[in-house]
Amino acid sequence: MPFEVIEHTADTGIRVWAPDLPSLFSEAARGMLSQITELARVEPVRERTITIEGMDETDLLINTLRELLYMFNGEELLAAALEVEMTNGSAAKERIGYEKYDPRKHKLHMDIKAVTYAGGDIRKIPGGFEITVIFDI
Amino acid sequence: MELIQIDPYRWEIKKTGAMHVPARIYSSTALIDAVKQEEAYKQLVNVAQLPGIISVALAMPDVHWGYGFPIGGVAAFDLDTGIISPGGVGYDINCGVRLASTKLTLKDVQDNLETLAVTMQRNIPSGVGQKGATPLTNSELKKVMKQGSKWAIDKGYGDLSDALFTEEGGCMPNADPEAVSQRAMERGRPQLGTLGSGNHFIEIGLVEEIFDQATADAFNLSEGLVTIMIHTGSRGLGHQVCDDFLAAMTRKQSKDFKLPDRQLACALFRSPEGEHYFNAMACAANFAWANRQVLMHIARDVILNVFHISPRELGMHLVYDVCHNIAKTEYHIINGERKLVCVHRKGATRSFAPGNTQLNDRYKPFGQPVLIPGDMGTASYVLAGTETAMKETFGSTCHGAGRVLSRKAAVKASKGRRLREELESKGIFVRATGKLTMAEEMSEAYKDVTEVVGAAHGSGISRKVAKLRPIAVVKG
Repeated sequence: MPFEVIEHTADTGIRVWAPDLPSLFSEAARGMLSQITELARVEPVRERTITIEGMDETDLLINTLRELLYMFNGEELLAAALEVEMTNGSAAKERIGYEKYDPRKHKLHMDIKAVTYAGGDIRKIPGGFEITVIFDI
Repeated sequence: MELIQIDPYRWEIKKTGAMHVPARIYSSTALIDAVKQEEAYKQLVNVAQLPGIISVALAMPDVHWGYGFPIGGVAAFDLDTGIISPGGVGYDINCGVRLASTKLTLKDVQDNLETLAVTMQRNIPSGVGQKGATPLTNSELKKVMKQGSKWAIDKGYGDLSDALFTEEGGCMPNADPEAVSQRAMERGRPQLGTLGSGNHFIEIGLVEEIFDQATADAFNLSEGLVTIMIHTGSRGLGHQVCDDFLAAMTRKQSKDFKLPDRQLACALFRSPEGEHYFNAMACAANFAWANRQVLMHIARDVILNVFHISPRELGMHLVYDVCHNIAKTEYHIINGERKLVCVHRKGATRSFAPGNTQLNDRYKPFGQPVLIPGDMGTASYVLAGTETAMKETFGSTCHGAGRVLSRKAAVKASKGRRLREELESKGIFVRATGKLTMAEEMSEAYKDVTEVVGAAHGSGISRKVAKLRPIAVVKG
């Protein structure tokens, strides 16, 4: 698995790694979503394209996760997968597959309330990139 | 960076490097090691670097690592040259505690405590994704955000006098619903009258010990009587307001200041962004007061029904309602002059001294009630505000126990134990909605609240009035 759950005294987080930035975004999305629900049971029956803005790649990634979290917390839509179509350092165009949250089908694990900057920036590692993301729960 | 012990309850960090002011930690020999290990004090040093900070960056005895500001952090900023920071308030804007006293004794309730916990849990929406009875319309939500407690009282949730027994009268007047995003409103609409998950709770307790009889009398607290305590906040609405402004200020930040941590994103208090955040934050704060007002009323109805008693027999009085995640403009004496400043309290409680004009006539001779919830198996405390707090901490003190174990570590540590039965054998009936909540919230996951309160009392930033013992608890 290209992400792992990390422990934090008051909250929880994930460490994600991937060979390139677009896949780092996808894996971070998977990492967060699998904390919220059993991701295997979420099907991408619908699709939307979004444009995210940010001051750098880290901000773009955090803002992407914020968007996915709002889809669930505000619109009751569970994302199944996210794909980055384009990123230029201050904007990213992304495609999200999702379905409506159905309490009979989707079991909820954790009430993530916010995505924070507390895990630090995206880091270059041998063979790719990694980031730690801490969630407020 | 060195922590220098000043006296049994005070440690200081000298002003060095980019710090504008020194930092001070209120603690005790038993608590300070955890502070050193967790490096929460480094976050305090970051706070001391923020523009316009006044006198000293402060940490209360329950300080622990937070996002940007430590939890248990207090800082005041100059209105003209200083900042306001969403991270200095926290995600759960106006997370707070409300305490009511009753005329009931243990004898009146002890045979039905389990039924009480079960019925309470059934009647109060709690846990992940739970919603209130009917979502508010946008225009109704705007009224809640403008009026706070008054909205709930006008709707019949509680007594007219309740607002007098609520910090700020249950309403920050600068609330401007136009500053709140549609997203924040969407999250708030279905959540009025919901408890939430995690460490939020309703606790039925008993006054176990009185430390100051005169003050306890004024607060309507007598030994052996049943109390009702609620701990919750502004739910998704507050989180979204915080997050919206963190994102917006982060983007602008890179141009304005150099900050040691993105999560410290802030804006000058007197700037359009600063003003918008302050007014949106007030909306979330008012929502939280209305929320606690509604929940207390539902809890009261549950008690009336379970014990088949009249409101008169219950004799419920609101003791007080405090917020412990907030930024406010308050008058404080700075270098001998009375000055309006912006005080941030993140996981810290206001602790106004006797005589303060913000207090109602009943409490003015005694100081403001300070409500300190502990973990579900130990105790909670009622303290009172002091002159020392006014002089040293911008009228602030601690807010709770603070975690020592992560949720995951708590779940692991509780393996093989029957926590519910253990608590029941101690006379505490607990019902939790989340499957893991019981383990995540076990006593061992928290610092010893008695030690935290001891440091607050010992240092003089508040004084002990009464100790409460839980007997029935509903957790989210």
